[in-house]
Amino acid sequence: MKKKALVVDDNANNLLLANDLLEVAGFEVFQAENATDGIAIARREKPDIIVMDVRLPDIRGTQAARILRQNKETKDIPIVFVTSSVMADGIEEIKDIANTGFISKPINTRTFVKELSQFIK
Amino acid sequence: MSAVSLQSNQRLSGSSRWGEKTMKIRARLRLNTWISLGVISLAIAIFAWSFLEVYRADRNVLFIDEIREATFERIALRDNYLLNPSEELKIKWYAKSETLRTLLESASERFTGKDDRALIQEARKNFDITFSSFSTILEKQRQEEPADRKKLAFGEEESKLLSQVFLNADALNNSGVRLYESLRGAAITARNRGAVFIILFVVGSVITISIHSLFIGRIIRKRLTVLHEGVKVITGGNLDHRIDIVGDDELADLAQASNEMVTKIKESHEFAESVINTVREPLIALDQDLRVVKVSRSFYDFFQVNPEETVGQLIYDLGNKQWDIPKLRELLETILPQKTTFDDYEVEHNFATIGRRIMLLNARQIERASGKERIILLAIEDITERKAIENGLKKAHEELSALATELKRASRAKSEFLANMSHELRTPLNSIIGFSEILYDKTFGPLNEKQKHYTNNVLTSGKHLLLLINQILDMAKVESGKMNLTLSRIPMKSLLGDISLLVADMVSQKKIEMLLEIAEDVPNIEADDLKVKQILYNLLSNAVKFTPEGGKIGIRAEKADFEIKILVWDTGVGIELENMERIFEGFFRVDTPYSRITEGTGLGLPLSKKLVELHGGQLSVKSEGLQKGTSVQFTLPIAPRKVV
Repeated sequence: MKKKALVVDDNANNLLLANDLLEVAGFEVFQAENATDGIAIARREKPDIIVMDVRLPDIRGTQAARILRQNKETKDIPIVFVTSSVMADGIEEIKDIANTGFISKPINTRTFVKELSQFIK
Repeated sequence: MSAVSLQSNQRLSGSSRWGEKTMKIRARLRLNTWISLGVISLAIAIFAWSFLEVYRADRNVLFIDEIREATFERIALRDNYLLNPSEELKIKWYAKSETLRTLLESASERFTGKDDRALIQEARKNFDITFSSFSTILEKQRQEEPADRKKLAFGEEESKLLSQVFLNADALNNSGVRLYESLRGAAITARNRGAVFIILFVVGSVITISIHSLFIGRIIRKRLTVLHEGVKVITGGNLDHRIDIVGDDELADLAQASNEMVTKIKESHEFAESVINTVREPLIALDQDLRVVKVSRSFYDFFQVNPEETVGQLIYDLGNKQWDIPKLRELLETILPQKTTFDDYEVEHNFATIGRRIMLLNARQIERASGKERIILLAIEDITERKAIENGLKKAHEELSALATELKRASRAKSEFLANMSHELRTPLNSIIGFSEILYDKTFGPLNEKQKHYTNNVLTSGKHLLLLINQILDMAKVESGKMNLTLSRIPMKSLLGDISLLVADMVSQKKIEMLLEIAEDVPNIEADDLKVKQILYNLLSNAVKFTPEGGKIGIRAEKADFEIKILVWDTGVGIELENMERIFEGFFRVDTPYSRITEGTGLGLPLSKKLVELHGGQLSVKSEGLQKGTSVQFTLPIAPRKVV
């Protein structure tokens, strides 16, 4: 059975890039352009990993992660943040959220999936 | 009042009288005491003498009484014997006669009065006659009559003797009585005389002492009046007045002391006045009714008023009631009665004469030791100018802090702008780099050569753009002070090794030789690990980029005092002297034949310099000129100084 990955990003190009890289690597990929949709899909599909942008149109990705952590069904799903921000506060923000990772944009397409896979149990 | 002079120079005209000797009042009083004591002792002596006199007279009377008694008893013995002769009576008669003789002898020694002596003399004569006559009778009886005869027999001669005895015995008795009478009289006289003496003396003494006391009182009263009048004039406020007094007694001393005191008071008065007039701050002294007692000269100058319209006026009425200031009223009428001192009370008032003034009032309430009057001292400091300066400063300060706030806001805005820009620029770069990488990697199918070449161009340009963005961001962060160092202990030797490995690929690709000269004593330093790596990487990659094939680059590291010195050198294109200044400007790149193949931003060196300086070190570049190589030397403190 294919592993499921959820990608949440408001930039359609970046969403497509992550989608392609994950699909090539054999993931079943679900896409969401905002946090609300992302949370809904995560509850429905219970993906093996969530790739999340930090800046989203409705709420911040970190906030969405906290909401997911409160739900029993989604609280153990590893979440990897992908952000364009180089400011240190990005890292500070996710320090206290369990089972999360951080990859900065622009991503390295050759190592992206490998980096994500480290978080999947 | 005649003795009180109103002018001090009158004192001089009367000063000759100071020389006159008058008896000291204390001496007078002492004399009075001595006189009283003398009179009393004399009275006591007279009393004692009178008492003694009376006592002696009484004793004489008693003595004569004794003689009279002895005389009576002897006569009784004689008569008993004549009636009933016996040996026993005879012996008793002899004994009594001896007693009487002794008494009479001592009496003649005792009494010295002429009449008394005559009487004693007569008594003794009579005693001698009675004794010789009766003892003759007794002797005759013993010879002629036997002892047991009871009846006496008298011859003619004996009868004659006996009658003589009787006669003389009576005479003796009479003498005693007369002497007794005489002495009793003397005793009474002595008593009366003593009493008269004492009464006379007491009356005399009282009169003497009273007269003397009255005399002293009169003198003291007169002089006290003079003193009192003088002191009254002085306390009335005339400090020029001096008490004129004659003599050199205590009151004269007192007057002189008072005069000296007044001189001293006047001196201290003048001193206080000169102090008041020296102080530049206007000073004003008020009485308890808030009327002006005194003001300093500076007050007149400052408020442009005259003494005539100031002293004695109610403070509020000064200068056409200009001083009727509500805040001043509050200070004087509400605050001061509760607090004796008040400092820095600010009052602002628009004076008709001198315009709007801001004054700082310092008030002191002085309780006068004498009487219940209070004096209020008011020091007025004009702070109008100071206030204006202060206000200017305050305004400037406000403007400055507004500016600072604005600057902070702008700085924050800049930071936010940078963060946003970084995000917004990276987001499309993510697609550019990501998709071109996927294409180049043929993830979704092969490309022809041209496509592959162009895809690589897109990829390389994207990466270059990313590097530019990163370095611009770093520069901006350093310049806005947003670049924070995360200090840790860095093992310098191993770090230098790691960095050289990082560029080793580039070095070997270009067939360049790299030399490492790291001194043994290069210590570990306290620095930001990532930043130091960034500095070294920038410098080394520059060295590689600007060094043609077959050239050399190298690192030399050594310890110097409290820092380490690192030199990154190359044998590359070097820098023209005229360009030495421009290399730190940013985006400056040496135009070389290699520049097309070298990939640089022109920001590496200036950013490295900034990062070195952020650590408290220094970075300098040396080059002998074009094609003569470049060496960049920088220092890093072993323990960083505080760098703000």
